[in-house]
Amino acid sequence: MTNSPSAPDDETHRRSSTVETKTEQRYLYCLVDTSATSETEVPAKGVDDVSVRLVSHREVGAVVQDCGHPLETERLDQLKQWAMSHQRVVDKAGETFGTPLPVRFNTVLEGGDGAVSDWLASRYSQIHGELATLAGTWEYRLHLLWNSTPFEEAVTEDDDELRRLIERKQQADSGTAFLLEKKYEKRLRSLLQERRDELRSKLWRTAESIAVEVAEQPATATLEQQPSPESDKPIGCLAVRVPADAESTLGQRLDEFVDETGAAVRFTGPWPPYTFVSDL
Amino acid sequence: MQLELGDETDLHGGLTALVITIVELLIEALEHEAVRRMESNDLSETEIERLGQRLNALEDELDRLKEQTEIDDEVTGLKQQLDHVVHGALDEVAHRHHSVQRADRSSSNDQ
Repeated sequence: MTNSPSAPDDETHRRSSTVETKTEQRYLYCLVDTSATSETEVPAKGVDDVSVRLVSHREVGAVVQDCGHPLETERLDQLKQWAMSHQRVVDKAGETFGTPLPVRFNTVLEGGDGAVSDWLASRYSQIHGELATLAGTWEYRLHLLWNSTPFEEAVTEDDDELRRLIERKQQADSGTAFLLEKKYEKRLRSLLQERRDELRSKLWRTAESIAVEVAEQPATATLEQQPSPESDKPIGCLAVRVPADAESTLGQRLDEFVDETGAAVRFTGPWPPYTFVSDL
Repeated sequence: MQLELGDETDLHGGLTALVITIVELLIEALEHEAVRRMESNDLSETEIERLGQRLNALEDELDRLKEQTEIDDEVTGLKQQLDHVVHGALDEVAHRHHSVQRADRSSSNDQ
């Protein structure tokens, strides 16, 4: 075996590598359609700066590098570095061969190039079919953020039930006022929930008008460089698969959504369609 | 689905947070029921006032306790975890119900 990644400075890793370097393994980055170009190489360095190669079977190729063991570490900085190397290779494969079929980070195939080729042959129809389905499309993540304060201020004035509860509370004794306050909070929570649901549905419809596929994702804070204002809370996230030439249309529709609703959308991409591939 | 009761070295703190979380959820349920009864005219004005005062006092006492033990964040975290547990359980039940329905359909098709 050649070009095994050097072991990181990590005792656990050193122990496992001494046992496992005897086995020939391939770290798998992604799968590509090799018929779209005459290229036969991926001009990128992978994990631990090792060159990556293409192992092909008919029209599908696996972007791999030699390795002696799965990547294991308890160091977060090391893990981030590996993840970035992984993403860099997948990006380069996408630039060279078109939309790649991504695989899970740290996927290692047992055996050498022959084993990889056999694996491709055994799943050729599925891989070829998926690549054809995903060709020319990319994934974007739409993070929906909302500052509820202006809405709360507006409904406090406009909602009949909230207004009535405020009036009753002002005339009530302390114990009754306490219960009325609880009812007020419940009504407000319900109105906020309705509005959040409306915004999520509207974003879904906006995305659906352009995307080939849409999938709901857990609402989490974005990992972007530019932080959002403290008041903007994540209330939803969609993964959308969009044709490569539709990015500007998607941007325009999202601008319209933002203007109409007052919510904010941060979108990241293009990514390989991680959300939309089936397990191989 | 599991609840994390803080650090292994601070089981006392984790347990206190869990007890306070459960008491807080109980008080919230009582408040919910009290509001329902108030709005369905089951109680006299005097009874509503007395109930409101008691629940208010309970909530204040619990807030004081959380402040003293400095576990407000832990209680919020536990409530969020419980939310996930409940949602997970509901999803599982719904999924199981769906699977059972599908199984029923396929067995009736077999007959």
